[in-house]
Amino acid sequence: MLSIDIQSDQGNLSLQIKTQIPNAVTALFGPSGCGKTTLLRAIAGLTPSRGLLTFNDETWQNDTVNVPSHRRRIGFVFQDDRLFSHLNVEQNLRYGLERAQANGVDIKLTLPDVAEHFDLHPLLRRRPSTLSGGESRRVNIARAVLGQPKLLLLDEPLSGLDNTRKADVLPYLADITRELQIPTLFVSHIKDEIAQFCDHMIVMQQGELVDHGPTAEVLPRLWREPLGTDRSLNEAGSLINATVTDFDPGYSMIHLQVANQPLQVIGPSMPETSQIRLFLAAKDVAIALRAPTDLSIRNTLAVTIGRMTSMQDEAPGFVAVELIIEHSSAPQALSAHVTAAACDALSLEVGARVFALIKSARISTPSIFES
Amino acid sequence: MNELSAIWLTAKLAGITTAVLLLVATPLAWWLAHSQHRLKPAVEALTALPLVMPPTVMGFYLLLLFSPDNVFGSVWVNLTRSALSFSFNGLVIASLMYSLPFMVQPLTAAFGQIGRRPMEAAATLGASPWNAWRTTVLPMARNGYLTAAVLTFAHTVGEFGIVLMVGGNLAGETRVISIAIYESVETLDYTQAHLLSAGLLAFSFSTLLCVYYFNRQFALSLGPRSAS
Repeated sequence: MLSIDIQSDQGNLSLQIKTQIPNAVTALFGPSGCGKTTLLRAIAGLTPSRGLLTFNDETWQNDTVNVPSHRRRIGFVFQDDRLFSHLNVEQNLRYGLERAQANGVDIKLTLPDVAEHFDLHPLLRRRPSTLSGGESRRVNIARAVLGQPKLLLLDEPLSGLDNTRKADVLPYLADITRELQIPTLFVSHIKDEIAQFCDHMIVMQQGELVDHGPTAEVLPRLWREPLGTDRSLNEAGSLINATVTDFDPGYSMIHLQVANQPLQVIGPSMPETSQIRLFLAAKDVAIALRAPTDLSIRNTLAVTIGRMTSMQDEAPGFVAVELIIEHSSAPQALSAHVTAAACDALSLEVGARVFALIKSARISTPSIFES
Repeated sequence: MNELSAIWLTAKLAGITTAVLLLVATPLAWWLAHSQHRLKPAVEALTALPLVMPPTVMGFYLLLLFSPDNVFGSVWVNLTRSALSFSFNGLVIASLMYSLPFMVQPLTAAFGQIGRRPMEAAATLGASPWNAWRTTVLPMARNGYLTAAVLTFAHTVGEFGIVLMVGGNLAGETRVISIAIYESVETLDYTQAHLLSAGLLAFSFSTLLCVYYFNRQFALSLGPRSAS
């Protein structure tokens, strides 16, 4: 548990955050300039702040104490490339590892393992100035992880990685943080990334906390309070848990199962039975009374209408419909935005059993696999 | 023998000055590169002063400072039983002040270019500030140090006015090459003046050549990263 109650004034930004972050993977979400990086730097002790910071049973900062960055045992992946230009890749990777060893830290992640997972073996002798953007991102992340951190702070760590690399790095990052239970704070403004990777999320705006909680609760309700002017940040939608059942290389199609119902998305090959989370935008979900045939939309889920809310304030003429997925052991709901006129024409009402149509093209490319 | 003693004295003076300034100028240059203190412009101006002032002005004030009538001069005499004016020790102190900007400015530029980013990254990887500085900034500033040391050494070798004011012309004590040349010309001994002048010219050219050559190497090793 990371307890934060800090203030920091940095130019135009006045950061004031009070929250508790569980030992899990937590997303830090919000429009650019809202103070995500400043918060991360304050937690690391790189940017001065006033107030209290405690991590588990250690006090990092209060009125009398201020533990310096190098004793907080954090791993930090900066937005920009911070490799040491005078050292080669292997020496960069060893930098944090050797200092952890010297301090008697129990080494859980070894250099060969991490190099293997991040596919760094061919790069070990190279100089940082000869690496591509994607390669240097991977080395930056691997170096932070090899420092055996107790808390991992990632400032948009996947920016600059190409699609396939993202798909490689993200699951591995998720695995090690979960397996070794390294609490992680992850700055991102890509909802699919957050849906996939983060258990918990914090939403910030203008230096203040506006929402926090489990991702499955916070992400679907984000659109209710617009964050800045970036429409992609405010997009309404829902999070769906799915299990991979098959992969069809001919169509690059992943076959998924959502509550015993099939769903198909386009994406890279994934091992069977792996669990993934998808973010489905509400505007891409349509409703039909009968299971349609002869339609280019391939994904149809049997659902029951759980709730209907008029969206007078946000989008006049639209209704937000909550669709509960049938045959689901744990309750899962989709949200759809349809016109009030369509609701009346189809006589939609709470409790009705209908079909949710999900535009294949849209969900088939969760943007974790896009640039 | 006179020439050899002058050459040895010059090398000793330049060597000691360079070594002491490496230690003194490093923290000063780091502070100048990173501080936001309101007194920073004043310190910058003070450091650069020897670049623009006639050496005779500095020499004049140093002579006053070294005088046993003065607090500094009298404390020195009491401690060491020797005077600073017209002595090798006085010459070292004068050279330290006179050559300070040649050490500080290349180092400040190097530290400014490196910035705080490597230190921050090192801190998050568990390195204490001193350890982080020694293992990141120091090796990254290698060429800045090389340039600063060579310029300081060469500039100390070439100083004249301040030496004449503070040190005078005592063989084996304060008579450095530039003074020896001056004396040779005064006494119409052009052969010796030619010898020393040509030597100094060759030395200055080759050191500058070294600096520019290494700086070119440095630029190449920092060249643009390959496209991804």
